[in-house]
Amino acid sequence: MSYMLNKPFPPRRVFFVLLIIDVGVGALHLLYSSDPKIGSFFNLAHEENLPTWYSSFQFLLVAVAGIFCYLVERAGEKHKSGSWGWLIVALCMLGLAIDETFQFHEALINQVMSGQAGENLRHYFGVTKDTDSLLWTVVFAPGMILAGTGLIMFYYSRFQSNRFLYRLSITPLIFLALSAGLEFLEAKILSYPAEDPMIRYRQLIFVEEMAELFAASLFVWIHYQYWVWKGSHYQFSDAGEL
Amino acid sequence: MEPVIKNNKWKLGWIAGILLAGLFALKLFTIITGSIPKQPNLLLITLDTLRPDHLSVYGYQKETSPSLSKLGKDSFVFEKAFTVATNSGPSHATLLTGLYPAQHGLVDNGQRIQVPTLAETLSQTGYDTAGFVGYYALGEESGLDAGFKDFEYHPIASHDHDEKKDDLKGFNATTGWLKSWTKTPVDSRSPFFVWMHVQNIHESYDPPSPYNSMFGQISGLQELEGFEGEFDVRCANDLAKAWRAGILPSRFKQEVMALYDGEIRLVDDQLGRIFAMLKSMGAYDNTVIVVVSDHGEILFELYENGFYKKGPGHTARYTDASMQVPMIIKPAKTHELNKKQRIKQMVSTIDLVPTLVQLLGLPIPLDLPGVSLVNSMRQPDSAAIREKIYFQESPHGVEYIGLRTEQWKFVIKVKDGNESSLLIDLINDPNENFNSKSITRTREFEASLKAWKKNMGSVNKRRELSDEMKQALKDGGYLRE
Repeated sequence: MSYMLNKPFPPRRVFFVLLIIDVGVGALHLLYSSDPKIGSFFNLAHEENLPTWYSSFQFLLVAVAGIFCYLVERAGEKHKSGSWGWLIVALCMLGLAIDETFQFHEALINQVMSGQAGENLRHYFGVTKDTDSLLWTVVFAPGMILAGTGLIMFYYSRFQSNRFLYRLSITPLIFLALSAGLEFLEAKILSYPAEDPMIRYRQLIFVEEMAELFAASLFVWIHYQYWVWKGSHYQFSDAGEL
Repeated sequence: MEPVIKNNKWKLGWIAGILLAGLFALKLFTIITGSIPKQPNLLLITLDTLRPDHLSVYGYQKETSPSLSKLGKDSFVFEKAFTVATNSGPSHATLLTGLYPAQHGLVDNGQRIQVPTLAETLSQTGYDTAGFVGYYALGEESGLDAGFKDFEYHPIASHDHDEKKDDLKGFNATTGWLKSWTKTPVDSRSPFFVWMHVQNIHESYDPPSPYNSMFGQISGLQELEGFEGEFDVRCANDLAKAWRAGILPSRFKQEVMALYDGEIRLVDDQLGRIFAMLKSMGAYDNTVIVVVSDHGEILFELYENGFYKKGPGHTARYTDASMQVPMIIKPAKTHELNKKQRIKQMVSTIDLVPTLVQLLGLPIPLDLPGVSLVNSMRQPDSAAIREKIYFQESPHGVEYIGLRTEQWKFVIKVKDGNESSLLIDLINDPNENFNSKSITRTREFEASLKAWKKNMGSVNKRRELSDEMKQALKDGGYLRE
């Protein structure tokens, strides 16, 4: 079985298609999220609806593309070290896809926040019980930093001869970091006795969720681009044209 | 074959990532395993209709307030504090939200607050909360009960000229609550936020014995020339009628002052009891105590400018007599604000919530229009806290909006679509009698108010008064047929 594409769909076009869908999801949120009947289905701030399913689908695509990157690497260079890293990346992305739909991180953070640790965290960060689940970004920050470092190092090891891809691979990580930072800000804003913290919250959550969607689209592009690039690279190598 | 990643870069990258993650994890560990510092309690005492110039701590010659003078020695006393509204409902809603009336929605007595309050925030951060109010318009219908686990309304019996036995009901309820709070074991005790609204000083000025004769002898019912029926100086309606008709003999003015001062002394004695109780409970040092009033009172001041309604009262009168309020803030011992001072700069009641939020160790909300006064408490001689004090409300459907600087006061009234304004030069006309003709100033302040109003935003929802509220407002002299 060949994992190298003969006439691949241009990666940049794949990204633009996803980008258009991202913008479409954002537009549906802006247009319909306040509708009492169908608003919840399009609301970026809600769970188990179109945006979360779409986000899960995006991460699933990232994972699948990651697996093909592994296969294409293995097929091209039998002895290339670290190819198994693609499987870990694919597994992580699959985890994100599942978490997007089932919100395991929220269940976990609720467990943490229900004890003394939660009391201390609420007090330290000055947030209320109603919004403390948004602190998951803080609680899981060490793990996320390690994962981010691992991903940067891994991409560097794969893309060092393709500067464009490497630089591109940093972008979704920046978007995800921005998204995490905004989620923390949302917890703080919702804890204020202000005029209408929901207005600011809605603005922030829109930017936060859109950043997450863009990040996922970029990951798809990067993985797919690498798959196509490596595929063509090995094909040409086999033919003695490189 | 691609070049192999250089070992040292690889190592450096991982070291940086692990170091950063480790630092985060260490900080989290110290937060999670650390003990929470004891947050201070908050006792907010709002004394309805109290003028600062009738308090000993503000230089009044009569001994109306020894307990507040004593509290003043442990506190920061703000000499030039001004309210944002002259009606109890809007003003109190500001004291509990840190927002202007147009922002919190309670623009007139009888309206309902439309935003979260300080009590809700403190309740959510683990505070044990209780509110005791003495005026119906501050009760549950106003929405100001939100966030208070216990909330009670205790009307003042003397204002109906009934027996005086219930005058202290609100104080007793507060002390009772504080006593029950002390029964909780110290380790499992949450800090408290208690709001005590005191209605006693508000008209009618009719304190029980011995306060009714403490500052002068009061006449009984009597005939008054030109007055229909018997005149009772203790009755707000009689007083207003006689004063507005210009038939009130000057000797009654002294009696009215004596009754007003008597009410203040009654309240002060009760406050002394509460402060002593906090001390005996061991909670005084760790309690932030705030004493503030919602507005002042016009006590026989007359204004020749014709802009305001004549007679006693405070609503919709934006003179300093009704706008200047006492503001005394006693920090907790842990704040280490040891050098207690008198703050001479102008401040507004809009600044109270950010100040309290900071004193309680919570983040200051970004959206609040006020400024925290804690920095001024640390450096009392620092620059002006604010150059302009804004005020705004819509009593009886008439919109008032205005500002005060050290020298000027500018008020715009919009009634039935017609706009009129008043400009007072406070330095050259301290009694606020004359409408200044300065066109330059008028234009400048009009532009300031326009910009301020635009920035402020508005919830802009007015609701119909309930029958019960209408009756309560009529009883309080706020609504007429």
